[in-house]
Amino acid sequence: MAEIPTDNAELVARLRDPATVRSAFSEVISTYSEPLYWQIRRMVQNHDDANDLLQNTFMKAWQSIENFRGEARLSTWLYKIAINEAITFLARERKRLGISLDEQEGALANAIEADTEIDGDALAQDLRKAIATLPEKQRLVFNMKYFDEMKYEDMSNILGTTVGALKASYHLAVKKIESFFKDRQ
Amino acid sequence: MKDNQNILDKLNHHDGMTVPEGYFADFARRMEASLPERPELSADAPTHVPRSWWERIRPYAYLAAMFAGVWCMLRLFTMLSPGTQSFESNPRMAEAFSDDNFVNEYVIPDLNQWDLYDDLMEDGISPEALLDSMEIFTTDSVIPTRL
Repeated sequence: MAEIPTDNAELVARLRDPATVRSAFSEVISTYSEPLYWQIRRMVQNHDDANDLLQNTFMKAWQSIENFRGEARLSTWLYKIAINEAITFLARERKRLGISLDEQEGALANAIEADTEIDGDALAQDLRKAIATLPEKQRLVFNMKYFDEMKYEDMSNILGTTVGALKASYHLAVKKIESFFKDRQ
Repeated sequence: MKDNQNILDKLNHHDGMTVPEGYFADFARRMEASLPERPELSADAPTHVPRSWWERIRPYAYLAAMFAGVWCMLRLFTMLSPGTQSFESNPRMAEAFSDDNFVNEYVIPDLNQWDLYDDLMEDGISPEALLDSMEIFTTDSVIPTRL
Protein backbone atom coordinates (compact mmCIF):
# COMPACT_ATOMS: atom_id res chain seq x y z
CA MET A 1 0.00 0.00 0.00
CA ALA A 2 1.15 3.54 -0.72
CA GLU A 3 2.38 5.61 2.17
CA ILE A 4 1.27 9.18 2.65
CA PRO A 5 3.87 11.46 1.08
CA THR A 6 5.28 14.13 3.36
CA ASP A 7 4.68 17.71 2.32
CA ASN A 8 7.25 19.10 -0.02
CA ALA A 9 7.83 22.80 0.71
CA GLU A 10 9.06 23.47 -2.80
CA LEU A 11 5.95 21.87 -4.32
CA VAL A 12 3.68 23.91 -2.03
CA ALA A 13 5.51 27.11 -3.04
CA ARG A 14 5.03 26.26 -6.73
CA LEU A 15 1.32 25.64 -6.12
CA ARG A 16 1.02 29.16 -4.78
CA ASP A 17 2.83 30.70 -7.71
CA PRO A 18 0.47 31.39 -10.65
CA ALA A 19 3.28 30.78 -13.11
CA THR A 20 3.92 27.23 -11.90
CA VAL A 21 0.59 26.17 -10.40
CA ARG A 22 -0.45 23.88 -13.26
CA SER A 23 2.77 21.93 -13.48
CA ALA A 24 2.88 21.71 -9.68
CA PHE A 25 -0.66 20.34 -9.63
CA SER A 26 0.32 17.66 -12.14
CA GLU A 27 2.98 16.65 -9.66
CA VAL A 28 0.36 16.59 -6.90
CA ILE A 29 -1.72 14.18 -8.96
CA SER A 30 1.23 11.85 -9.54
CA THR A 31 2.24 11.96 -5.88
CA TYR A 32 -1.12 11.69 -4.14
CA SER A 33 -3.31 9.67 -6.52
CA GLU A 34 -2.25 6.32 -5.05
CA PRO A 35 -2.71 6.99 -1.30
CA LEU A 36 -5.95 8.86 -1.96
CA TYR A 37 -7.21 6.09 -4.22
CA TRP A 38 -6.71 3.44 -1.52
CA GLN A 39 -8.38 5.59 1.10
CA ILE A 40 -11.43 6.01 -1.16
CA ARG A 41 -11.43 2.41 -2.37
CA ARG A 42 -11.44 1.06 1.19
CA MET A 43 -14.51 3.14 1.87
CA VAL A 44 -16.53 2.38 -1.26
CA GLN A 45 -14.95 -1.07 -2.03
CA ASN A 46 -15.53 -0.88 -5.78
CA HIS A 47 -12.71 0.11 -8.18
CA ASP A 48 -14.88 1.99 -10.68
CA ASP A 49 -16.52 4.07 -7.97
CA ALA A 50 -13.14 4.77 -6.38
CA ASN A 51 -11.77 5.85 -9.77
CA ASP A 52 -14.65 8.30 -10.30
CA LEU A 53 -14.34 9.69 -6.78
CA LEU A 54 -10.59 10.14 -7.15
CA GLN A 55 -11.18 12.16 -10.32
CA ASN A 56 -13.74 14.29 -8.48
CA THR A 57 -11.28 14.80 -5.64
CA PHE A 58 -8.55 16.18 -7.89
CA MET A 59 -11.04 18.21 -9.92
CA LYS A 60 -12.35 19.86 -6.75
CA ALA A 61 -8.83 20.46 -5.49
CA TRP A 62 -7.90 22.08 -8.82
CA GLN A 63 -11.04 24.24 -8.87
CA SER A 64 -10.25 25.56 -5.41
CA ILE A 65 -6.44 25.52 -5.51
CA GLU A 66 -6.33 29.25 -4.71
CA ASN A 67 -7.97 28.40 -1.35
CA PHE A 68 -5.00 26.28 -0.41
CA ARG A 69 -2.78 28.83 1.30
CA GLY A 70 -0.20 26.42 2.64
CA GLU A 71 -1.35 26.93 6.24
CA ALA A 72 -2.59 23.33 6.47
CA ARG A 73 -0.60 20.43 5.11
CA LEU A 74 -1.26 19.62 1.47
CA SER A 75 -1.91 15.97 2.32
CA THR A 76 -4.43 16.97 5.04
CA TRP A 77 -6.27 19.21 2.59
CA LEU A 78 -6.40 16.51 -0.12
CA TYR A 79 -7.44 13.77 2.33
CA LYS A 80 -10.27 15.95 3.59
CA ILE A 81 -11.59 16.42 0.06
CA ALA A 82 -11.22 12.71 -0.74
CA ILE A 83 -12.94 11.54 2.45
CA ASN A 84 -15.76 14.02 1.93
CA GLU A 85 -16.22 12.69 -1.59
CA ALA A 86 -16.35 9.09 -0.33
CA ILE A 87 -18.78 9.85 2.51
CA THR A 88 -21.02 11.93 0.24
CA PHE A 89 -21.01 9.10 -2.31
CA LEU A 90 -22.04 6.54 0.32
CA ALA A 91 -24.83 8.83 1.55
CA ARG A 92 -26.02 9.31 -2.05
CA GLU A 93 -26.01 5.55 -2.57
CA ARG A 94 -28.06 5.00 0.61
CA LYS A 95 -30.58 7.53 -0.66
CA ARG A 96 -30.64 6.02 -4.16
CA LEU A 97 -31.15 2.48 -2.86
CA GLY A 98 -33.46 3.59 -0.06
CA ILE A 99 -31.40 1.83 2.63
CA SER A 100 -30.23 2.79 6.10
CA LEU A 101 -26.67 3.15 7.35
CA ASP A 102 -26.84 -0.34 8.90
CA GLU A 103 -28.25 -1.89 5.74
CA GLN A 104 -25.37 -0.39 3.77
CA GLU A 105 -23.02 -2.87 5.51
CA GLY A 106 -24.77 -5.63 3.56
CA ALA A 107 -24.47 -3.68 0.33
CA LEU A 108 -20.73 -3.19 0.95
CA ALA A 109 -20.31 -6.90 1.73
CA ASN A 110 -21.97 -7.67 -1.61
CA ALA A 111 -19.65 -5.22 -3.34
CA ILE A 112 -16.67 -6.99 -1.77
CA GLU A 113 -17.98 -10.38 -3.00
CA ALA A 114 -18.50 -8.99 -6.50
CA ASP A 115 -15.15 -7.18 -6.64
CA THR A 116 -12.90 -8.57 -9.35
CA GLU A 117 -9.89 -6.38 -8.55
CA ILE A 118 -8.56 -8.70 -5.82
CA ASP A 119 -5.51 -10.91 -5.38
CA GLY A 120 -7.48 -13.93 -4.16
CA ASP A 121 -6.27 -13.83 -0.56
CA ALA A 122 -9.28 -15.26 1.34
CA LEU A 123 -8.15 -13.95 4.72
CA ALA A 124 -7.73 -10.44 3.33
CA GLN A 125 -11.18 -10.73 1.78
CA ASP A 126 -12.59 -11.65 5.20
CA LEU A 127 -10.83 -8.66 6.73
CA ARG A 128 -12.53 -6.39 4.19
CA LYS A 129 -15.90 -7.88 5.16
CA ALA A 130 -15.08 -7.39 8.83
CA ILE A 131 -14.16 -3.75 8.19
CA ALA A 132 -17.39 -3.28 6.23
CA THR A 133 -19.36 -4.12 9.39
CA LEU A 134 -17.84 -1.16 11.25
CA PRO A 135 -19.68 2.15 11.52
CA GLU A 136 -18.58 4.67 8.89
CA LYS A 137 -16.34 6.81 11.11
CA GLN A 138 -14.78 3.79 12.80
CA ARG A 139 -14.07 2.31 9.39
CA LEU A 140 -12.30 5.49 8.36
CA VAL A 141 -10.24 5.54 11.53
CA PHE A 142 -9.31 1.87 11.20
CA ASN A 143 -8.30 2.25 7.55
CA MET A 144 -6.15 5.29 8.24
CA LYS A 145 -4.40 3.73 11.21
CA TYR A 146 -4.04 0.11 10.14
CA PHE A 147 -3.41 0.45 6.40
CA ASP A 148 -1.90 3.94 6.08
CA GLU A 149 -0.21 3.85 9.50
CA MET A 150 -1.17 7.49 9.86
CA LYS A 151 -0.30 9.36 13.07
CA TYR A 152 -3.25 10.13 15.33
CA GLU A 153 -2.36 13.84 15.16
CA ASP A 154 -2.65 13.81 11.35
CA MET A 155 -5.91 11.87 11.54
CA SER A 156 -7.18 14.41 14.04
CA ASN A 157 -6.47 17.25 11.59
CA ILE A 158 -8.24 15.45 8.76
CA LEU A 159 -11.27 14.16 10.64
CA GLY A 160 -11.63 17.04 13.11
CA THR A 161 -11.77 14.59 16.05
CA THR A 162 -9.63 14.55 19.19
CA VAL A 163 -6.69 12.18 19.43
CA GLY A 164 -8.28 10.50 22.47
CA ALA A 165 -11.51 9.82 20.60
CA LEU A 166 -9.57 8.45 17.63
CA LYS A 167 -7.58 6.08 19.85
CA ALA A 168 -10.79 4.86 21.46
CA SER A 169 -12.42 4.47 18.06
CA TYR A 170 -9.49 2.45 16.70
CA HIS A 171 -9.43 0.24 19.80
CA LEU A 172 -13.15 -0.48 19.41
CA ALA A 173 -12.71 -1.20 15.71
CA VAL A 174 -9.95 -3.74 16.43
CA LYS A 175 -12.15 -5.43 19.06
CA LYS A 176 -15.04 -5.68 16.62
CA ILE A 177 -12.81 -7.14 13.92
CA GLU A 178 -11.44 -9.68 16.40
CA SER A 179 -14.95 -10.72 17.42
CA PHE A 180 -15.96 -10.93 13.72
CA PHE A 181 -13.24 -13.54 13.16
CA LYS A 182 -14.00 -15.28 16.44
CA ASP A 183 -17.67 -15.68 15.43
CA ARG A 184 -16.66 -17.21 12.12
CA GLN A 185 -14.57 -19.93 13.77
CA MET B 1 -8.63 -14.51 20.99
CA LYS B 2 -4.87 -14.53 20.56
CA ASP B 3 -5.30 -16.09 17.11
CA ASN B 4 -7.78 -13.41 16.20
CA GLN B 5 -5.41 -10.69 17.34
CA ASN B 6 -2.76 -12.26 15.19
CA ILE B 7 -4.94 -12.07 12.10
CA LEU B 8 -4.22 -8.35 11.81
CA ASP B 9 -0.51 -9.03 12.29
CA LYS B 10 -0.66 -11.92 9.86
CA LEU B 11 -2.28 -9.79 7.18
CA ASN B 12 0.40 -7.14 7.70
CA HIS B 13 -1.69 -4.22 6.38
CA HIS B 14 -2.71 -6.20 3.31
CA ASP B 15 -6.35 -6.01 2.16
CA GLY B 16 -6.16 -8.04 -1.04
CA MET B 17 -7.42 -5.24 -3.29
CA THR B 18 -5.74 -4.65 -6.62
CA VAL B 19 -5.98 -2.19 -9.49
CA PRO B 20 -5.65 -2.77 -13.24
CA GLU B 21 -2.06 -2.80 -14.43
CA GLY B 22 -0.58 0.65 -14.94
CA TYR B 23 -3.67 2.23 -13.45
CA PHE B 24 -1.98 5.00 -11.46
CA ALA B 25 0.32 6.15 -14.28
CA ASP B 26 -2.63 6.11 -16.66
CA PHE B 27 -4.85 7.90 -14.16
CA ALA B 28 -2.31 10.71 -13.70
CA ARG B 29 -2.07 11.19 -17.48
CA ARG B 30 -5.86 11.23 -17.93
CA MET B 31 -6.39 13.51 -14.97
CA GLU B 32 -3.79 16.05 -16.07
CA ALA B 33 -5.31 16.11 -19.56
CA SER B 34 -8.81 16.65 -18.20
CA LEU B 35 -7.93 19.59 -15.95
CA PRO B 36 -9.71 22.65 -17.29
CA GLU B 37 -7.78 25.83 -18.02
CA ARG B 38 -7.93 28.40 -15.26
CA PRO B 39 -6.89 31.69 -16.84
CA GLU B 40 -7.69 33.53 -13.60
CA LEU B 41 -4.76 31.69 -12.01
CA SER B 42 -2.26 32.83 -14.63
CA ALA B 43 0.57 35.12 -13.60
CA ASP B 44 -0.70 38.11 -15.61
CA ALA B 45 -4.23 37.90 -14.22
CA PRO B 46 -4.91 40.77 -11.82
CA THR B 47 -4.66 39.41 -8.33
CA HIS B 48 -6.46 42.35 -6.77
CA VAL B 49 -9.53 43.91 -8.33
CA PRO B 50 -9.93 47.49 -7.09
CA ARG B 51 -13.15 47.99 -5.21
CA SER B 52 -15.60 50.60 -6.38
CA TRP B 53 -16.69 53.55 -4.24
CA TRP B 54 -20.05 51.88 -3.53
CA GLU B 55 -18.41 48.56 -2.59
CA ARG B 56 -16.22 50.40 -0.08
CA ILE B 57 -19.05 52.25 1.65
CA ARG B 58 -21.68 49.51 1.29
CA PRO B 59 -21.18 47.94 4.75
CA TYR B 60 -21.45 51.36 6.42
CA ALA B 61 -24.52 52.24 4.37
CA TYR B 62 -26.17 48.98 5.40
CA LEU B 63 -25.28 49.63 9.02
CA ALA B 64 -26.74 53.14 8.88
CA ALA B 65 -29.88 51.83 7.19
CA MET B 66 -30.24 49.21 9.91
CA PHE B 67 -30.01 51.82 12.68
CA ALA B 68 -32.47 54.07 10.82
CA GLY B 69 -34.85 51.11 10.56
CA VAL B 70 -34.57 50.39 14.27
CA TRP B 71 -35.16 54.07 15.09
CA CYS B 72 -38.24 54.18 12.84
CA MET B 73 -39.58 51.03 14.44
CA LEU B 74 -39.10 52.39 17.95
CA ARG B 75 -40.75 55.67 16.92
CA LEU B 76 -43.67 53.79 15.43
CA PHE B 77 -44.08 51.68 18.57
CA THR B 78 -43.95 54.80 20.72
CA MET B 79 -46.61 56.49 18.62
CA LEU B 80 -48.89 53.48 18.66
CA SER B 81 -48.32 52.64 22.29
CA PRO B 82 -51.26 53.47 24.62
CA GLY B 83 -48.74 54.97 27.04
CA THR B 84 -48.44 58.03 24.83
CA GLN B 85 -52.04 59.13 25.47
CA SER B 86 -52.52 62.26 27.62
CA PHE B 87 -52.78 61.65 31.33
CA GLU B 88 -56.29 63.14 31.40
CA SER B 89 -57.53 60.17 29.35
CA ASN B 90 -56.06 57.77 31.88
CA PRO B 91 -58.43 57.58 34.87
CA ARG B 92 -55.69 56.56 37.32
CA MET B 93 -53.42 59.38 36.25
CA ALA B 94 -56.27 61.90 36.29
CA GLU B 95 -57.13 60.83 39.83
CA ALA B 96 -53.52 61.15 40.92
CA PHE B 97 -53.19 64.63 39.41
CA SER B 98 -56.38 65.80 41.13
CA ASP B 99 -54.61 65.21 44.46
CA ASP B 100 -52.61 68.35 45.44
CA ASN B 101 -50.30 66.41 47.72
CA PHE B 102 -49.34 64.12 44.86
CA VAL B 103 -48.66 67.07 42.61
CA ASN B 104 -46.63 68.85 45.28
CA GLU B 105 -44.64 65.74 46.18
CA TYR B 106 -43.93 64.29 42.78
CA VAL B 107 -44.78 66.68 39.98
CA ILE B 108 -43.25 69.90 41.32
CA PRO B 109 -40.17 68.66 43.09
CA ASP B 110 -38.01 71.63 42.09
CA LEU B 111 -39.40 74.19 44.50
CA ASN B 112 -37.24 77.24 44.61
CA GLN B 113 -36.32 79.15 47.69
CA TRP B 114 -39.07 81.74 47.10
CA ASP B 115 -41.73 79.05 47.01
CA LEU B 116 -40.37 77.62 50.24
CA TYR B 117 -40.34 81.04 51.83
CA ASP B 118 -43.96 81.65 50.76
CA ASP B 119 -45.02 78.23 52.04
CA LEU B 120 -43.42 78.91 55.43
CA MET B 121 -45.02 82.34 55.66
CA GLU B 122 -48.41 80.87 54.72
CA ASP B 123 -47.99 78.33 57.50
CA GLY B 124 -47.22 81.15 59.95
CA ILE B 125 -43.57 80.31 60.34
CA SER B 126 -41.02 83.06 60.01
CA PRO B 127 -37.97 81.75 58.14
CA GLU B 128 -35.68 84.08 60.11
CA ALA B 129 -37.06 82.85 63.43
CA LEU B 130 -36.69 79.32 62.19
CA LEU B 131 -33.08 79.82 61.17
CA ASP B 132 -32.31 81.61 64.42
CA SER B 133 -33.69 78.71 66.36
CA MET B 134 -31.52 76.35 64.32
CA GLU B 135 -28.56 78.70 64.73
CA ILE B 136 -27.88 78.57 61.08
CA PHE B 137 -27.62 82.02 59.66
CA THR B 138 -25.01 82.13 57.00
CA THR B 139 -24.66 84.20 53.88
CA ASP B 140 -24.86 81.15 51.63
CA SER B 141 -28.03 79.90 53.23
CA VAL B 142 -30.53 78.49 50.78
CA ILE B 143 -33.28 80.62 52.31
CA PRO B 144 -33.07 84.35 51.78
CA THR B 145 -32.55 86.22 55.04
CA ARG B 146 -33.92 89.47 53.73
CA LEU B 147 -36.39 90.07 51.00
